[in-house]
Amino acid sequence: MTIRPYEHAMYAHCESGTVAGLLRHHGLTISEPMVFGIAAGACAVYMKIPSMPLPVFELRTKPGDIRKNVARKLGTTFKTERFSDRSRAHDRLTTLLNTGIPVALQVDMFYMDYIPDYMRNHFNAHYIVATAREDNDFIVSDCYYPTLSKLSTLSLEKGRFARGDFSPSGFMYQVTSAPLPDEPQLKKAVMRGIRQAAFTMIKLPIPFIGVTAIRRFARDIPSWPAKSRSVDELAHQIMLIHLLLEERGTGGGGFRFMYAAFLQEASRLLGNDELFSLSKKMMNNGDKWREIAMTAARSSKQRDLGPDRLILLRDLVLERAEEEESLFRALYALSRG
Amino acid sequence: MKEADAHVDYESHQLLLYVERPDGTYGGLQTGAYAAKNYLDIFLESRANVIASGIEKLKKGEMSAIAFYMELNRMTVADLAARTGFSRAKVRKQLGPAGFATVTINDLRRYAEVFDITIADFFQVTIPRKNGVSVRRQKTANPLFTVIEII
Repeated sequence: MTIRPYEHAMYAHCESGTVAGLLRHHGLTISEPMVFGIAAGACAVYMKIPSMPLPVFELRTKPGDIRKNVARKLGTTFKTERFSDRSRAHDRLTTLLNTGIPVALQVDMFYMDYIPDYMRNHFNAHYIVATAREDNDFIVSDCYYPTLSKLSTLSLEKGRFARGDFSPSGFMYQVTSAPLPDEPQLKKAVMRGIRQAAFTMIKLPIPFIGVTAIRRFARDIPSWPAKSRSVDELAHQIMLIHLLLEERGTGGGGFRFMYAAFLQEASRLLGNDELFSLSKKMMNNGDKWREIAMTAARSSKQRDLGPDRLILLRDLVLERAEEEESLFRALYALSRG
Repeated sequence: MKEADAHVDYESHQLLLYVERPDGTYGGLQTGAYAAKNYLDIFLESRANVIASGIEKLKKGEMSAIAFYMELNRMTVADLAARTGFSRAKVRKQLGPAGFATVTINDLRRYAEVFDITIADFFQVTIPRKNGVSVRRQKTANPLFTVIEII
């Protein structure tokens, strides 16, 4: 039996990257932005979770949705498995790898010890692909890292069975079928993806999701000093705005650059000029999110955290909410047209 | 974002950004991480401050080692409780020096797994006094036994 090696590549986001990488391994070449867009990955969420030190603000859909939405819209099938027993999870993974099947794993990023210390934090919804075994280690493809990495069995087990929010419980999946979609099917999947993302952003009547969530996040910023124990902690909170917009697997501009790339690819597929124009606007919108990220980073470093600075940040984020509402309204109308 | 504006020269932390290429198409660009290049020193300084003040408090018995590692990892009581499987009340109690004195080895094993440290780390810190010397704690298959390597 010939085992085809898994081709490692860097991607912007762990979930869309893992799905795109596995589909490519199974012969379905599809770009990461296409996976992200078809799966309606662009979103906005702002919610307070008691176990988290800070409210969660994310500009993407919830973990796990990208794989599920791609399966629904492209007809791909993924076999998913969860385990309560560590040794059974280990044995099952080893069996699959021995037969040459790369497997996506949900892990707590904290235990991925090939990542520099300063990047490691507890986050239970990180995805990697296990590609092979080597002695007592696993070879893993983490799309945030430029090369394949070696991870000890113990670290992988800890990562797969971390407790807390979004606990992985040994979750893993493999692609079982990835039929090549024909052009009409792909076009339909693209339009459904746009409609779903736009609906979530502007129509979903849930206050912590969509453009309403962006506004709530913005309005909370000036109150942060009262909730912080020290200037250091406040500076860290402000720096997190930069990280979550630019560097925590977003592709830059709070996922909007990647979404713009999807819209541009979609405009070519559909031959739609309006979509092409919206892709440019989405790219500009991403640039403005990046400006917010840079303002936050500078403010944090210079400890320029007075009320004027926080009000400036609030206003910049509110402007994004306005722009996103207009953009996603246009996309919603286009997807229904 | 234009491709030229996205490039950051920082080899040790790379990431992928989506950019506008000179021909107007959008695609991925592997580049250095802006925050790691420009702000890592601040992060490390802030972490060093947390460690230094934590060690002082530990030496005076004003803080428990569990509280020290919880602060170092910027975790909340609720998160630590969820990750260890202990009740919040139990974690709160063990965060104080008096509560720490009643902690069992089995409890420490669970805390150590969450912080990804060894049990020995709850009872001592090793500070090299010579430049170029580093100390590495080597976990072993026995969770109750640690090897310290001086490199």
